[in-house]
Formats: sequence, C-alpha cells, structure tokens
Amino acid sequence: MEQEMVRDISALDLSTYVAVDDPKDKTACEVIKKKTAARVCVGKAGSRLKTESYLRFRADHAIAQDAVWSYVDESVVDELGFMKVQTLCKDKDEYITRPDLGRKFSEETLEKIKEACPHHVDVQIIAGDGLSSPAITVNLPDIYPMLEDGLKAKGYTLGSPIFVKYARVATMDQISEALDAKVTIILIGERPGLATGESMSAYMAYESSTKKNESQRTVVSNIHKKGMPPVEAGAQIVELVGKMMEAKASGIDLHL
Amino acid sequence: MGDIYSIGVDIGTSTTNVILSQIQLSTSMSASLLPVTSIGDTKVIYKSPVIFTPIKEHQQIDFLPIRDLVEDGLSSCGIQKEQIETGAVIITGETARKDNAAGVGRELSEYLGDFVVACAGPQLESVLAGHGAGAQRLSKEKNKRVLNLDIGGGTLNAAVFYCGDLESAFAMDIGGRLIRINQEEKITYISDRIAFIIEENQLSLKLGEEIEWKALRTLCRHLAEDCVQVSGLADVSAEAERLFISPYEYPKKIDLLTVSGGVGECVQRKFKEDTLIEHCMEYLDMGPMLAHEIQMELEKYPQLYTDASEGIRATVIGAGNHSMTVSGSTVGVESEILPMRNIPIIKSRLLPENWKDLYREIMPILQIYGDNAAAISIKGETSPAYGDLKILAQEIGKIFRETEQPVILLMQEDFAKALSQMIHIYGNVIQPVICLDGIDTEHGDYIDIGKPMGSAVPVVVKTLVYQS
Repeated sequence: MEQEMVRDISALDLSTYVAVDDPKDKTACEVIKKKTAARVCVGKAGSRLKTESYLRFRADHAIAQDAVWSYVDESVVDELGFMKVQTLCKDKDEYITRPDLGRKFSEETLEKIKEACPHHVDVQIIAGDGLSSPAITVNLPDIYPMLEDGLKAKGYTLGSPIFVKYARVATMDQISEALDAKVTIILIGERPGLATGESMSAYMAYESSTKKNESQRTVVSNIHKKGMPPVEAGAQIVELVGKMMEAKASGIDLHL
Repeated sequence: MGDIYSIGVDIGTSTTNVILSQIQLSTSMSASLLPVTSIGDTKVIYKSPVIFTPIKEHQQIDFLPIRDLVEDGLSSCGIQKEQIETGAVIITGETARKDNAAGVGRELSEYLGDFVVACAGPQLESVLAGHGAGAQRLSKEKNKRVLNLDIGGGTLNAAVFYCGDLESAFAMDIGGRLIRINQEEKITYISDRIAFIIEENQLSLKLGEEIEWKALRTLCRHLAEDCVQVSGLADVSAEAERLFISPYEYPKKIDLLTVSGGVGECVQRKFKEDTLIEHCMEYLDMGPMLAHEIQMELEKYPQLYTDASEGIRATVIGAGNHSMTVSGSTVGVESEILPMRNIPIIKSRLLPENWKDLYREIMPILQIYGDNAAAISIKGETSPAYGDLKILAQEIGKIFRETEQPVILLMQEDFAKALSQMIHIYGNVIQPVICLDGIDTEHGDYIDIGKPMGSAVPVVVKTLVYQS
C-alpha cells in the first residue's frame, strides 16, 4: 500500500483564516482577526465548533502541553557558555506539583555555584526553563548576546551565566544571595497559552533577595518572535539595567 | 501624559484658513509591560474664517495677513505660539507654484516654532484631506475602501483608504476657480490647464467676454464625468488623463465615496438647479455649477456616496490633526540633534538575508546628498536574528565612517533599539545615531523628526517639499 502523509492541521496560519461559511463581510472578519489571537470568526456547525476548529484547538493545546513537558535543548545553553544546575525538583512531575522545590537549591548546588562563579558582579544572568522549554531554546541565542554586548559596553561586570533546570522565577533570589550580584536577571519560559508556546519573560531585580517581596522585580514579558522580538527585548533590558544601577532600585521602587 | 497643541495652515489656490487643535498623548502598557506612547483623541479648538489667499503684486504670496490669521487664532484660544508643538503649513495647488511659496512656508513654520512643518506636494495634500474629510476613519470603522475627492479652487486631490490604511493618492487639475467671472458676468480668468477641453468641444467661453452659462455647464459636465472616471467607476478618457498632475493608479473597486473641499461643500449643500447662476455670481466662479454636475453624476451611485465630515476645511484639519505620527516606543535616539526637518529618505530594498550588500546598495545614493543628512529606511522582518542584525550594523558602520552625516535609520518592524545598540558597539561610528521603528515610509520621500515625547518620537513622513 502506498503511504500517504496525513495533513498537518496546525500548518494553516489561523491569524488570517476565516472559517465562517458565507460571511456577510469577510474583510471585517479579517480585520477583527488581526486585532486578537483569540479564536474568532471560526464559524460553527449547529451549536458546536466545526471539526477543523476543534481539532486545531486540540493541536494548539498539545503544543502548550509539550512546551511544559519538554526539555531545553542543552546544546544551546552549552554553546553560549552557561553553567548548568538544577533545583530541588527531581523531575517534571515534581516540578509541576511542588512549586516550592522549584525555588530552592541543595546546599551542594549552592556551593558549586559559589565556587564556579565570580562574586560581587554588577549583573548576573540566569536562564530557566520555567513552564516553557522551547521559549529558552528558541529565544536565548538572540537575546543573550544582545545582553552581553550591551551590558559590557556600558562597563558593567558580568557573572558566569547560569542555566537552571526546573526553575521558578524566585530561583534568582537564591543565586543573587549566593553571589552577591547587584542586578540579577532571569530569562524564563512563560506559562504557554494557545497563541504561542515560545513566550519568554525577563524578571530583573536590584539586590534580588529571598527576604523581599515579589514587588522587587521589574519585568519585560511576551518576548517571542511574534511578540516583542528577542533582540529588541535585549536592548530594552540593557537600558532598564542601566536605570536600576543608577537608582539602586527595581520593581515598584524604580520609577521609569 | 498631557495634551499638545497643533496648528494647521492651508494656503490654497484660492482660499487660506487656519485651525488649532488639541492632541492628546496617552501612555499605556504594551503586552510586554513596557510604557507605550500613542496619539489619542484630537479636538479642533479653533477654526479661522476662510479668507482669499492674499497675493501681492508680481504674483507673490503675502505673508503678513496669514500671520495675522494665525495670531487671531492663538489669542482667541489664549495660547502662546511657543505652546504649539506640531502641525503643518501646507501650500497647495497653483499657490505652490508661486515664486515665493517656499519662502513663505519656511517663514511661517519658523515663526511658529520647532516642529511645524512646511510642505507642499499634491499627494501629501490628498492624504491629509482624506484624513480631514473623515474618509480614513470611515474606512476603518466600516472596514471598507473609501475614496475621498477633495475639490478646491485649483485642484482635485484624491486619496483611497482601505480598512484605515492609505492605498493610493493622486491629484488633478479640476477645481471650482478654473474659470472666474466678475460682477458684470464677464470672464476674468480661464486656467490654461482646461483650455484644451474648451477648444476640443468648441465651447464659447472666452476671456473678457460675457459668460455663456450653457457652455460653462457643458464644461462642468465634462469635468464631473472625469471625476467619476478617475474614481474607478468608468473607463478613464483621454481628457481625464491630460488633467493628472501626479502619477495615477486606477483605484480598486471602491465601496464608499466622499467629497470635500470648497466644491465638496457645495456638493453637500445640493444647490437647486434654478439657483446655480445666482450661486456662481455669489462666488464669482464656476464652483457651484461644477458641484451641481458632480452631484448629478453621483446620484447615479446612491449606495456609494456619503457626505464627508468636513468641507472646505478638510485639508487644514488633516494638516493640523494628522500630519504627525509617533514612532514605536523602544527606539534609539540621541536627541541633541533633534528636531531635524526635510530629511530625504533613501529606501533600501534588501531583505535581511542580503543585508550584507547594504553598503553597495546605499553608498552611491547617499553620496548624492553630499554633506546633507539623509535617512535610510530598512526593510526588516518581524524578529531579526542577532547574527543578521550584526551584519546590518557593520554595513551601516562602513557607510557612515565615510561621511560625517548623522546616522538616521527608519524601519517598520520593532527592532530599532536593538539596531541602535548594535551600531554603537559594532558600527565604529562617531556621529549621533537615531533609529526609529514603527515608521511607514511607503508613501513618503522626506521625514521630519521631533524631540522625543514620552517614550516615542514624533515624526512627519511627507512627499515632495516644494515643486520648483
């Protein structure tokens, strides 16, 4: 029997595809679709979704789940010279069910970090898988060199970059305390939605600390190729770090 | 963020008027949680009377009465001219061909301050009139293709908007004052540009002689038919073709049509047939009759025609409210060299994979401008790769190490701040660098760049500065 390829239901660009049968104003549908990533103008079959819309919804949901359950391509972080560490989580299951463990390192890991990395640097950069591994795999090669270039050009000292497996945002506080960095940045995969599984955020804090509130952090979010381009986010973060260094503050204490 | 004041001055073939408006600048948060500055509501706070364009001896525009008109407006709103932050002085139609047009435009914009632009050019006027007439808004609200015909004393300016975006613009020699008469019903002026129609159709309209209303009516019918043709509703005749003063692109099927300008206002007023002569004698020109004939033609397309939101003031409102746009909010700007005006735009056609050839593409063109600054518009992609951007920055460095002009780069996609950082690090240039994104240069040849407002930079992208 001749083998046939199954049509890839996720190949169609939904952002422009109007599935309403015989629309009264197709242009209007297209204009509406340009304004939102929500699944509008998809038509219906009776009171339900069309089969195609439903399958596409499932396919995109699968992308989101894969983003959570997959792993960062380690060759990417190796190439950029990141040191690799892991939080207290043993595996993905534990990472999902025990957020508290994703914020902490073992004593040995902390010692390893303290030994291998320079202390008292101006800026410490961390990358963490968070809830989307592809976000790091895809965006890190464009954003990291932008940060490195820009921060060095401003005359700041940079620490050794650290990649954290099973990372939560607050992971940055422990590393900051261990190395006594002035500004710490964590680039972390965002909880994926149905629009993209590759969105990344950058959380930054001045003298990031486990004793401070969440409000210590400044954030640039929605970094991906269809959101804020990673290169542009990189240049923006460089500017924000400059402001944090000048004001010796971040989060709600930093007035932009 | 607060409001800014804007001025519009329209010095047309036959009339001049001024408006003042208040433009609201608002700051919101982007999806990336960064502040974004954008233009909010605009409100016209003053409309001057419409005066005849003051002409001195030797066909020179008289600057002083126009300045008085501006001062009346400022004092009635209680604002100082220093508070005017943006706007445009537009010199159009036949007036732009007067010897001192460039001088008057410059004098007025300098009198008004830093960021009021002086410009002329039939296409830009068409676009601004389309904005002022509400055609752009209508196309956006209804998701339709809307054509606005702005018909003034000397020229017709047309702009087509589709779903809020400009599609095309053109201008023609059709206007209400191409034939003028005096109180004795004698013809005092016939524009050279329509003489051929009179000749070809053997119409008895002669300079100095008494007006023959029937012949004038025939002429107006011809011009009205030409209007319908260029709107894409009929084939364009050889006659209509001869009237174009800018390149013309046959519009795609339009959904709605509006008419603004002095003649447009008459179209909206729907003069009765038996009052036409009376109205022509009131204005001492052919305007009301032309308007009537256009109205008759348009009645054949009732589903198409809709009243414009403005008449004679469409251009000036467009100039005051819509000449300025703002850049994206993550940009690279060394503002000490701003504002800068009338910077020619060199458009690169290279796609990111060919950025390595930028020097070869741009350098020969840039050299034409000698010591004058020129901006380069870059064709980008939504999210350029680090490596590609580095190549681009190195090419830009190569270009600008050979000149002393400031580095000015424009792009539509959101990567100006990244490019600016790259140029500073890998470009090895000593001059100031200005990188702006969110700039559409498709329909312009020149750019004015203002000082930053909030996180964005105000710009005016425009067409020809002056016809010589």
